[in-house]
Amino acid sequence: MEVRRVRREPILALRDLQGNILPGFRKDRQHFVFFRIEDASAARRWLASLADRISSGDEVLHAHRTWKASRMRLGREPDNAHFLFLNLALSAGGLAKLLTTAELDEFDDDAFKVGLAARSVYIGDPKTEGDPGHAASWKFGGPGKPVDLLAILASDDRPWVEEETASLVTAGDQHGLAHVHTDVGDVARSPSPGHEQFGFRDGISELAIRGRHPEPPHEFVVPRSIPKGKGFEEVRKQFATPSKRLVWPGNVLFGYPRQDPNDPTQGVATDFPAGPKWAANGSYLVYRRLRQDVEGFRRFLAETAASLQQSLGPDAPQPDKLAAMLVGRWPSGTPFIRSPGADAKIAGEAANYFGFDGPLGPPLPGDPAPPGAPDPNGRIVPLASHIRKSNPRDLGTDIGPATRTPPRLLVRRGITYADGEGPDADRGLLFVAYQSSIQNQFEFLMRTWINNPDRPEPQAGHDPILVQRPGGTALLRLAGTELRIPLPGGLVIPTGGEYFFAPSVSFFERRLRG
Amino acid sequence: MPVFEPTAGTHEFDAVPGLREAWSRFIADAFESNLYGAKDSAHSLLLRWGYSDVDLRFYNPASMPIVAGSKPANVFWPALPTSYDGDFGGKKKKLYEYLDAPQKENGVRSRVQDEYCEWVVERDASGKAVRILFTCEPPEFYDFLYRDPYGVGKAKTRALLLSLYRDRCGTPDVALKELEAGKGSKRAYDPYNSWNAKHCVHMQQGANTLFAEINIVAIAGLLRRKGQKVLTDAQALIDCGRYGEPKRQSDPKIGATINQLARENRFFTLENPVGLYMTGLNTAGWSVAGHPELDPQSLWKVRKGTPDADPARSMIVRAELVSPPGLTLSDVLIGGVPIRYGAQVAEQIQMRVGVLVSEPQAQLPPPHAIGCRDANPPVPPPAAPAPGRGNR
Repeated sequence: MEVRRVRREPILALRDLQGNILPGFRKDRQHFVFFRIEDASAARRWLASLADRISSGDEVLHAHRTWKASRMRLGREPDNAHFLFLNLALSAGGLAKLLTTAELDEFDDDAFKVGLAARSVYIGDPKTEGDPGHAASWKFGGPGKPVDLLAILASDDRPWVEEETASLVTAGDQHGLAHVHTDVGDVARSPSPGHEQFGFRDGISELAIRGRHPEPPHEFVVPRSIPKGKGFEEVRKQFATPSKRLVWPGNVLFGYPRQDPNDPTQGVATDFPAGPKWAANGSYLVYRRLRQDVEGFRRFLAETAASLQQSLGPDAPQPDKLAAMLVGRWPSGTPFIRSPGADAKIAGEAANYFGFDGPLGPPLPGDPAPPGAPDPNGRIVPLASHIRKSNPRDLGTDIGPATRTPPRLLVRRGITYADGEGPDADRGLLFVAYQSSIQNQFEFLMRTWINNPDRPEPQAGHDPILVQRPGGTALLRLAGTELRIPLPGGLVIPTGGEYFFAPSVSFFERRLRG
Repeated sequence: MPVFEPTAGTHEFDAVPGLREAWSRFIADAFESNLYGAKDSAHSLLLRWGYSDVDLRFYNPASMPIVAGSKPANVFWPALPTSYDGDFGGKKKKLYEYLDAPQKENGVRSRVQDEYCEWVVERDASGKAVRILFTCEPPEFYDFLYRDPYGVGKAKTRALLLSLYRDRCGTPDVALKELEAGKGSKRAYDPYNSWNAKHCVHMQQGANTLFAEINIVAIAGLLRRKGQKVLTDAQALIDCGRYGEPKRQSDPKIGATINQLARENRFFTLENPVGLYMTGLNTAGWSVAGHPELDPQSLWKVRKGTPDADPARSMIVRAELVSPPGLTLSDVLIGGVPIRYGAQVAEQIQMRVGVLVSEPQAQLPPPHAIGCRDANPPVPPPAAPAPGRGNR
């Protein structure tokens, strides 16, 4: 076997990779349209014909720049700089219909090949048929409701994206596909834009894919903005901006060096492709339709706060503070560790500038809030809090030093949704995440950390937000005592989903045409 | 009265009078050599930096009573190694094939499973896995029986060694000479012997030893600094302290956890019986194809040690995954994926090491931190010994 280690960040084929992977659509309205392939030949021809319409990374980057320039010029969000993006992804079932089983077998990831429904219990979803969240009850993707193709349409212009969706469904119908389901993601259908349904600002902490533009002078695709001053050296090595941790492209995209788990500044390339040759510049896409029980969440907070009041008296947190502890952030996104008394409403990039082992580096220019204190034992932010279970940051974990964590993380592109109005409305998050290994990344996080009470930290308990099954607990270390709070489970309920592969643009141009 | 129980608290040593006491002495000596040995012990490192054993927080319970109020704590990690992940570009099947097979390293063909848990896959004529044997028994346990270092009686201890081997291998055919290597005065117990290779009797990967565990805890229990900054990061600590294997998951995590206890000024020692244990097999999401009535957990057979519903108390050192009646392990599905490799199952096994930890010692000054390289220590020794209890 040959292993090559590289330090120079590679050129990214921006014209070939789909734009929701990098840089991300970031549009207020996103439709996720699911199809089943009925006639493979017709579907293959039609999908090949869509190649020119797929929004590449290059195209989406240009669109974002144009939009930003308009905003700078106008001093407000432009209403005349709309774009409509389209991306496509195929499930293993879809690929098997369009290609050969042998080609599908070239994918190494077994989770992708068997699909999300078959892995549902494995990653912690309810195991009993009839329980909310069990795959049998899903709107799509569960047994008897397979989906082969996912089309993502995104725009800030609501009527436009609705028209295009209708037109795509009609065209699909005429070319061997059957429409199964559409999810409508809308940032406006949330407590406030950029906040998920429980009221917390979302998408603060992102992965930044290392890599350079194809054209000279080959600048970094994700710009770097960590100060150059003394003390920031280590931060600069690992972050593009305070909110964006760098990761080598091979942890998201096929065909690139992966991150050296022991040295984040180094990429590792091998001769072992994780899929067919044409998979280069593609990425696995995990899609989960997650309903959020907002009333249940509030009830859980109120009941738990009341119970803590009985045991702790005045030291007990009120429901809003308890929520911030269990999430790890205040609703504004301010990290609890930097502001444990009340929400300091830390704005901008500084909202993600913290570690659990102490400050990441010197204070950022203009950041007024004090850095957080070291908290390895979870006396400030519970070890079971959502952000600690899904990303322990600068602390070592059960899999070794902190450098091993970023290769396990995901490029998240989710968006809120809500069907209906009032307390009984079906509302939640359309979870979209890209990665180069579903087993090592999404499933690892779900099975090994979120749903395991002893990992990454012993005795921490379950992730109070994401745990599905009842019977879980979370450890709170408050006022010098240790308390285990019972978790109801099922506050976030899967109601559909599938594992997909988002191939390169050239897959549609060449492989499907060929 | 022995202080240290045999690993996993089993009663195999009861067959030979005096053996339990000898084992306890053996472990106590391992503590002593790692704490106070002349070379590279925790104490010798402190001396080189001008400090004394007052700065030790790890102690030998055979020399010092358990500190009042001590509570158990654990470090957990997965049994599936990640040391070789980078070599296979994330391609799991290649990695699993590599991990399942013995590899030649340093001139010896050996298992390379390096997370203190090793396994062997038994296959049928068609190549399907039918049984997977797992062990986290340390080689010292068997080498101790062969060498009889405390003079209990070689004939008896070697007879016990042979009897244990025959039991593990399920055959009376094992002969003592097959467990040995070398000639004449260099004749010794061979951890790479063919019976161990085939039946996974005990761990054989070079660093999967009880001594390594004790050494990591002893050395990682020293505070470290670079310049004036006390190190807290797991990677920085293992790079600085040079204990264990940095590429593993277990060693950096054990080291970082132990070091944190010392930074918090707590006394700590290893759980008795000293060992590295499997806590169990996570079969959530497993199924047996065509047999929904079968509970996959029933296929997990603990052969030595004590399973416990609480992973913090489980002490499994030998177990196997057996096929369902009339089927093979390829009929057992992990999240819908048939079992083909032992590594797939190892991924579902959690390991632990237990420690006993005191409350922070507020009456004592915090331990001094030493540097990473021991030449020309830049810090002079303290003018007078710090008050408080030494631990010897």
